[in-house]
Amino acid sequence: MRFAGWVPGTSLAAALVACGVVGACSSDAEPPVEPPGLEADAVPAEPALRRLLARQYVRSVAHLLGDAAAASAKPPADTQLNGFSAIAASQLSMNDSLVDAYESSARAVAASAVTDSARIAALAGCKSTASADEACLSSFVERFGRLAWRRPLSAEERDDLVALGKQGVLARGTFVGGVELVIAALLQAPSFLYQVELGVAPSTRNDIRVLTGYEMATRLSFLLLGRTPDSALLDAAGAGELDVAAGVRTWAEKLLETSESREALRGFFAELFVLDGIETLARDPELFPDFSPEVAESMREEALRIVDDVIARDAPFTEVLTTTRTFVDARLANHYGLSVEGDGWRAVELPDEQGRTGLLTSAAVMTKQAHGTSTSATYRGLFVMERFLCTTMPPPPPGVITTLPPSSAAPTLRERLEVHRSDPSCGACHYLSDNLGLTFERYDAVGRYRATENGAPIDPSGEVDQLGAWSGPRELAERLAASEGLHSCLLRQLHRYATGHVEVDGEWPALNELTKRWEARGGSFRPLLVDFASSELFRRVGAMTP
Amino acid sequence: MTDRRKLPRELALPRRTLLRGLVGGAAVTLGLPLLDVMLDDGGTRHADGSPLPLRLLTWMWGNGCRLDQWVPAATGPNYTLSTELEPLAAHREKFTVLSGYRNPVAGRRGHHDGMAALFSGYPFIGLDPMGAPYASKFGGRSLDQQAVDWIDPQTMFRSLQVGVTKRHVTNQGPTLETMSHRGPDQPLGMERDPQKMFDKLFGAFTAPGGGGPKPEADPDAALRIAALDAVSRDAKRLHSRVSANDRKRLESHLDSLFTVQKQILAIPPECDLPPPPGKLDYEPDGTEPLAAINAVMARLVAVAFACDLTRVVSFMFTGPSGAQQFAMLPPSAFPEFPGAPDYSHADQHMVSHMNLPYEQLYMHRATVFCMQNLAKLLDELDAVQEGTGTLLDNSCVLAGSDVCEGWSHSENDYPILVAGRAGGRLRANVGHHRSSSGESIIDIGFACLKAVVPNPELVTEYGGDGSGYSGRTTTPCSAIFT
Repeated sequence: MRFAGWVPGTSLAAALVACGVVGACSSDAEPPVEPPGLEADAVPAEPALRRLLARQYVRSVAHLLGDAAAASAKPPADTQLNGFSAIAASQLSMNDSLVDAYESSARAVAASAVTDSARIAALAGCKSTASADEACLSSFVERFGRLAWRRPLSAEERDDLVALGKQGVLARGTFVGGVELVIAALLQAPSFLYQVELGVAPSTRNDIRVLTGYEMATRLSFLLLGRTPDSALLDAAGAGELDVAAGVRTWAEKLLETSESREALRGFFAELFVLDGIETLARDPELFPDFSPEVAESMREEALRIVDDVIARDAPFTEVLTTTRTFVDARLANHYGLSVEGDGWRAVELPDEQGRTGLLTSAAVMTKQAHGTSTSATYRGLFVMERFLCTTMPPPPPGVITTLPPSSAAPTLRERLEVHRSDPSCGACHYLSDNLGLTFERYDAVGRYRATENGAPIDPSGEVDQLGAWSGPRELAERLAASEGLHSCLLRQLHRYATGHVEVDGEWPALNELTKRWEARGGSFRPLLVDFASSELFRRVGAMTP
Repeated sequence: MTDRRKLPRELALPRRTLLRGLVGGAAVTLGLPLLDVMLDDGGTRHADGSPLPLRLLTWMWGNGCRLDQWVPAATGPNYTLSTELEPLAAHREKFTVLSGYRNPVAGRRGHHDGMAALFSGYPFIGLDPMGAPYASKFGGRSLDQQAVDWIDPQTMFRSLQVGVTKRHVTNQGPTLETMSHRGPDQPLGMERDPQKMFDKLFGAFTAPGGGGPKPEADPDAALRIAALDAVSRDAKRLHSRVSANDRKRLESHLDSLFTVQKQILAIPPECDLPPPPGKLDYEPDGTEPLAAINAVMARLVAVAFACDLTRVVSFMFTGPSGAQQFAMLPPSAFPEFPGAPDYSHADQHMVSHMNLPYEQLYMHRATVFCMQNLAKLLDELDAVQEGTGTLLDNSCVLAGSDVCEGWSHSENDYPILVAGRAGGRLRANVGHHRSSSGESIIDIGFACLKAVVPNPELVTEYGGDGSGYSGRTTTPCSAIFT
């Protein structure tokens, strides 16, 4: 299949890119036949240095230097902007505390790494105990530097780090003393800490820049594996395989088959579905005696297993909303009131009488989107709006009076929130959120099922203009799954996470085309990821403000 | 070691003389406690005539107050403390209550508006492109960071950011996460772990276990400096290739690399260290030991000031719009409301929005608890003698909240007090001043800035414009600053 809209300049750009700024050239081999590109053009946002997320940093250290060294890695915690830490990582700057934390972490990792002499020798490609072995030091710098900085080092960079290493050898009197210093420097350097995605401008256009093979390898690996690219992927970049969409596609498919990709995607979904931090929530111990950090951890795992399962089966992604199958361990089974035997995780069908549906009514989501002592229809409704429909809610106007009647006067939340819905100054904004959120009232602030509140029956039905009427969560999930904006929204969320910015105008045509293609192909997630990763949307950045 | 020619321009500031000193073989001297022998006869200046250090501390609690319980009925020095101010009674001679001030950058998002006005003077920058989840950033440099620029302290830490509760809002951007911002894109995160704060302050020069200062400086210091030099060269190489915006970000990065080098070279301060706090974290039922964490943090701040490890601190006791929980307020604390719901594990923000008698009494008592904890900090600062006065006398402490009253997100009449005299720069015996002319709240931050900088006459304006709002001012709050 070949699309007419392939931008002619791109192959040329790919060739230029290969001999890009770091002085490494792709092979001169004939580029592979072009794969399907997009009909739509893509003019992405300006590139921005993107700091590695904490989990990407740790996994990269583990990949480079082993699990023992990774245990010493202590990167600073992430912050979020607009729902994703990748967006904050692309906008916010370093400060004294962050630099201090990275310096400490790099030294701790380096100190741990050099205790594994076999690994160091393998990385260096030579085994040296002689403190004066400059050739072996240089070999280490070149080989490990390429892995850590995700591209070959320039001669200047190599010489700089070899000189540093020699200083370490001299001061500590051992070869590994120098290696340790080099590792510490490489791992706190901007070339390690930031994804650098500058691209090269094709000769035919000045509004886009095409990512180099090494930049592409990095983007692809962090998205699909959650860590720095391995040597084979860097080799492929050096050989020009990632300069064309077909090559990216082939590699994306390959990377998605690894077990690491499941973990990497979990990072995305944990952010998208707001699952992190559940273990530090507090719940009123009298109202919710079985809530604990341990059961919270099981809740998070359940939600991610629901997603894992849908992806692994290549089922339509909407099954995340509609499936009645879930996964429990003994703790969670007890929490849900199910009887199971044994302690491990197993798949179970959710009981019909509880009306549960996929991720939407999972204990994790119901708990995260609630208060410490009670449910929150507004949080839960806003969750559906923001995460699945990509709409948000304006702020309450300052000075607004937010008194809800006490439960003695209005036993159910639906009755108490009547004030939101009947007062036009509240209702305009709360219409969507409360109508969506009240559907989940049969799940309490830790996601346990209840049919009544304060003795009064709970009505889980709802209706909004955009989705029509529904009788309960399962019907709402069906409505959402069939709704027009769902796939577009989920793709936009993926794009935000994968590129570190909220979509800009020049990206919409390509996003729309990818959405249509995703829907037409049945809506399973992995083919979308491959299409997305090999699209111009992901292989380019916008022009840079000089 | 350090290639001075290649240092970016903004590093070519006086701070650099310190590093140059080391490169020339001399050590950097930081963190001298103020000893009597160092003072002149009057005890108001150093023996060499230089003034005593002044400190700025910004302090906040979340979700406001009950104005009818906060604002004292009378004004002037002889006012009677309100119930919410009562915990501060021991220090009443040393703080001024300011009420009736207007927020000129209000009207968009309650909690965000208050943070921006009180702690920066710039309207915040709202971020909700394409219906993405809302976030906001500060519109300019925060008050404490402007003070850092003017003071340009030759201290181990340019400033410290201290937090107490870990239950704070994390999904609405830097405006609600921290009080300290070098600029819109450079928030400085609050350290909310007492042991980590201890390690940050003293870790470089205490023996493991918290004994006395190490006899010698870090033997690896030279190698760490060399590695950081190599890291800086990588940043500079990258600097020439990136977008204009990323160049600014890399300049911030370079600036911090330089600062960390300076910290590595610091000589241990000669001051008595408090014992290491150990782990202070959630209890098994999820209760957070807020008062215990606060007590440790307050002591650490006092020691950091006394040893001149820093002169600028921001301190977030509880957070804006915060999810903090007040475990010390179970229903049994409210015998006047039999059968009342239990909010000891509820997020305070939720309770704040219930304008009902029990819930608002709960809010009132939460504010009282916050003031008890502010009193603890003032106790610590006032306990350290410095010259003829105390550390508190040589400080300006600006305390306030992100909203006026939590239940309505109101933005008129924020609860604000200013403690300490900034070495005599702030008026004494004001008591309670109520603005009758709707003066700007931003004038208060301006007065605090002028109170602590070396040359107040050079600071002629404060705050800024954006998003159709202006917080700019040229008039420091006259009630406290002459």
